[in-house]
Amino acid sequence: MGKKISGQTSMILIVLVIVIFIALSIFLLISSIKPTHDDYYNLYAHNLLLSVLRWDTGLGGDCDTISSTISCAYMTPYTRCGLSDCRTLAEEVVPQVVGSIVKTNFDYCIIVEPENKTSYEETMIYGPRCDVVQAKSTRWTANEKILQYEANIDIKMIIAEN
Amino acid sequence: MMKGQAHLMEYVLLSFFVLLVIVMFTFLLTGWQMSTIGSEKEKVKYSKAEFLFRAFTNSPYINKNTYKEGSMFEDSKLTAITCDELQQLYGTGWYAEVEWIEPVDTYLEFKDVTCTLDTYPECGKWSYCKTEGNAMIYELPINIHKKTTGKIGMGMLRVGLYES
Repeated sequence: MGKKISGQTSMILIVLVIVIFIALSIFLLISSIKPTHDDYYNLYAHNLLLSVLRWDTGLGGDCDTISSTISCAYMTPYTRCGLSDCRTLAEEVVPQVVGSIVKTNFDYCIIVEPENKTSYEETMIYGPRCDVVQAKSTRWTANEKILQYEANIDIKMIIAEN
Repeated sequence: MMKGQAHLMEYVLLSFFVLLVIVMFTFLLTGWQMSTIGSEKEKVKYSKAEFLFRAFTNSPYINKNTYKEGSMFEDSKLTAITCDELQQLYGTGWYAEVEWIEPVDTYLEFKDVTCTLDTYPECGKWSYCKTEGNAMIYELPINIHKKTTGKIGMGMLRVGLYES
């Protein structure tokens, strides 16, 4: 009879210990899940892209704004803009402008493609760590379109915490 | 006598563990409840910040009229509008700051001057309803149109939500 009680007690103790561990694991798991606040970061990404595209370069002509500079860099890359051509200017100015305004703990990637891209058409990419940003599981994307005669250009900005 | 003591010890040990489990569960549930409340509070703050951002970036009182997508603040409107007027529209418990951001350093030499009716247009900062107190700060990139020159620059809208 004594051994039976002792066995039951041990069983109860083991079950209790298991319950404690399960409860602790669930608690730690739930505590580790951070809310992502997608609405805010989607708005942030959209406004970041919009404000960069609208920025006035001060150069006028085909490179009046970042939007027109990117468009020029894609459609007519060797057009003169200030001291350099459109493509070189875009490669210099776009990272400088985005870098001056994006949150310091965020990486970004800008992908420029023609609308309905075919396999032989080029993709232009701006951003120092595009591969890292695209590989992140938590990232936010904004899309804009530059309307052009005969060929619209899609611009996608992806941001992710670094 | 010894057998009786052993049984007693078993019950004491069992009771101790049961008590331990109850205490642990109480702590876990309290902790969980606290973290849930914390995350709910954070969610509410983000929602309020998002509401203020959407309200500011679409308000005809501070945005240039011709941009349907919004987020194009006009510097003259930013200078003219007051904290009282904004609080009548969006309530209290917040402050806002708008700052001109210039990627090319030489372009705007007055960007650190706060805009008032006296300093306008040679200024690049606006502040509304800022008082002492702890606040959670959220930021959103925007554009600023300088009415005097026609230049479109970039800016940062910062909204601070005071701890209530």
